[in-house]
Amino acid sequence: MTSRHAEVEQVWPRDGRVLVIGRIVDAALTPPARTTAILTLTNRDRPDLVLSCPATVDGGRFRAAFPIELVVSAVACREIGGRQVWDLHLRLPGDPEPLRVGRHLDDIRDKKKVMTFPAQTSEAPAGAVSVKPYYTVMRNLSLISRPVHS
Amino acid sequence: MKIRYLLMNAYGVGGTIRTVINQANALAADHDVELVSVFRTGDRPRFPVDPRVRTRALADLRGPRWRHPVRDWLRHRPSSLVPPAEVRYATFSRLSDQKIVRYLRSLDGGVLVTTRPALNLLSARYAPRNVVRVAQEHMYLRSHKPELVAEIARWYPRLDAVVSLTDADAVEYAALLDGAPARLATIPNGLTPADRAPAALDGGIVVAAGRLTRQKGFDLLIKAFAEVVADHPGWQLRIYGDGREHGRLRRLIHRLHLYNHAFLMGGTTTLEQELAKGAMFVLSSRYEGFGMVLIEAMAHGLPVVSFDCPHGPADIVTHGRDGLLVPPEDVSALAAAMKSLIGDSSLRHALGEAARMSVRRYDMDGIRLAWERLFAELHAGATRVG
Repeated sequence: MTSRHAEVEQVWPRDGRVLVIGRIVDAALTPPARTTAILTLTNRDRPDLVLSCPATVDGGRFRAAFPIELVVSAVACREIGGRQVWDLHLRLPGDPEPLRVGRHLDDIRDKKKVMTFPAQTSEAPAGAVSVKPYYTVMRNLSLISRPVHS
Repeated sequence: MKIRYLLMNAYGVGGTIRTVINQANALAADHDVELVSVFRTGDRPRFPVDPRVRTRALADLRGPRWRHPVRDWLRHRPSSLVPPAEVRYATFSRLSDQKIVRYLRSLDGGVLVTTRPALNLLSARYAPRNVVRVAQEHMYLRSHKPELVAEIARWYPRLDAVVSLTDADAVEYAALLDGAPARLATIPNGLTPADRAPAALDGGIVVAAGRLTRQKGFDLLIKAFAEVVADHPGWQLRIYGDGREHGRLRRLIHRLHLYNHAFLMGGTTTLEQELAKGAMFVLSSRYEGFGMVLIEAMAHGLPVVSFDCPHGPADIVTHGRDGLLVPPEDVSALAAAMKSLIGDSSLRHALGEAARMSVRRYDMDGIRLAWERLFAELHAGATRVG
């Protein structure tokens, strides 16, 4: 955990989307009034491959949702095979350092095993791909995408 | 008094093992207590044993198979003395048959406490008459298969006493062993003394605990909690325990979109600390031997919601006074009871305080006295006759 991050409160992987709700934890920051930020998904093996979607920030709280198509089409269009990990960050306007999205402020230690989420599947030209949010061993929020073998 | 506890495996983890070791520890101050384990699978018991309690094992299963060819051959021959209807039939063997019978025949006087049907039956058949033979029932009579009940009806009358955990079960035994000389008694499990932190009654956490098996009904609890979350999205359910239903329960949580609210926490060695984080405790079992975890939760001042399943909850909980009882396997009633506690903080505090007071009747001191009194009476009777 760093001194500043985006603390997750809820993750909703349903209806073909992933919705993330939480609050910004940063002692130095005065909570910005209602503004638009960016949620980014960075491919862990290809740091230049960054997907993004808009996020709303209001009084220190954030909320962002993206369709899983965002990940599925990126994988299809770059012809990336196999299992891919995507790390989530929140980029506030005018802030050079993105905030890692994670959940650190409760007493549940083993989040990777205890707080799990279902996978959602989407059809792509090269075959179906599943997308699943998960907590890393460091309790940060990431996604796994992988081809579904039927 | 010389008191021996015979149990299947003192080196494992489980409710019976823990209860029996607690009992042996409690009696160790004033009596010569020995813990006799049929099998030995580890170097030391997993639960703390009082240093005054002597331990021994009849069949040591440690060490490589090739070094113990006879042991290994006998161990893989099925038991000819334990009825196949015994739940743990497959654990017993020709090896254990030999060792147990030899051990029982070697006894001379004192009290022998046996702790599961297979051992109770063998005690009735092979322990000498000058030994006071006490059988403990850690589940309940109706939980056994009919073939095993027939064996119980045939052999238990020879015992000096059969002790149930609840009065309801003692009544069942009385009907089965009608007119037999064996004494029937009810002695519940004791609550070992510990510093128990008061529960966080306004913390928004519902706690449940137990092995993840169908018996514990966590599938019912998760479904009920889905109804709770619809009205009270700020509340969280934590289920402690491991077991073979883990995958199935996790898929149920995912399917009901409860992944932000219901968590399978895994096994814990610090259940007391986790209980203290709860605002209420829920027991969703389809059946129980006793429901010791209810008593442990109540000792923290936690209000409880429990299915009124056989056996235990109705003995432990007085509905509306120190907890809420709902009809067994009724998901909506379970949800409604949880909601009524969530919606009423003063009710949680009132039931929790009453719970803390009412489970004092299970304090180990009182339970120890009940055992001592029973053993002393049986012992005196045996000496007069002998």
